[in-house]
Amino acid sequence: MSAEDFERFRKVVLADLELLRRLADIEDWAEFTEVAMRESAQLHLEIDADDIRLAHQASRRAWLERWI
Amino acid sequence: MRRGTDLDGWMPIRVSFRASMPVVDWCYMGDAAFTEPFFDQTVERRLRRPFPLLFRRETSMTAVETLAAERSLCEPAGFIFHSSRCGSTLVSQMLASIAATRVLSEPPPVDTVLRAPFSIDVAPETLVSWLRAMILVLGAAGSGAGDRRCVVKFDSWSAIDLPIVRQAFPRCRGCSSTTTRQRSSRRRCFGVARR
Repeated sequence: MSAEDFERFRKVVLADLELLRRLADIEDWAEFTEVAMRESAQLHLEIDADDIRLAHQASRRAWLERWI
Repeated sequence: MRRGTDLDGWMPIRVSFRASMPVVDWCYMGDAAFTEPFFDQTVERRLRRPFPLLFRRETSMTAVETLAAERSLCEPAGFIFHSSRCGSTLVSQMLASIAATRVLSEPPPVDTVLRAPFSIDVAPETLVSWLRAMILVLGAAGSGAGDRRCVVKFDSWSAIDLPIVRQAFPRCRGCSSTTTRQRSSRRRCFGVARR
């Protein structure tokens, strides 16, 4: 598990329009996790389901607490 | 690999202040249509998807101004000012039912820009520039299922900011929505959006 790798993956995705659109079209979290793990592995980044689950929780919490 | 450095499909969903400067939070809206009664509800729906929640961008307000200046974005077709509980949401939903019309109902980024002087020192002309850029970009951001015109419904308390809005969009028409009792004491129409 690596939060740093997830951040690196995030930067790669934001710079790659095709990968961005492929991920953006996914509505299901399980499918997204699977695709993100596969794509990140191709970039030699170690991202697992826990990384995505933690990022999900942190992002959701940050959004809900935006007015605090 | 195609570079994804532009902001196609991205939309400002929030403005906050950091070190006395505005920071714009962008969300990938893709082809999301603004069908919910309020802007935030459409954003909330989008944030249920993995990508828009996890992959966001942050920029300065300058990036919003640059985007608005680089692209010849259409000015809004009209503005709605209102008092609370007066039927303005019905008006905005009726307008949203017109084909190719996007109604941005009480978008928080616009409200935060209008309220910026309460948080930071900002020159009046800068505020006008930020407001204009933010509304132009919000009106055009994302593909929105082919939206070609945009109407902005402000928060009720923004009626007091009408002079700033007029400076930002001197040619745009607007209407006010009030209850009968409020109308009897004050009426502030300045033209009616007829499209």
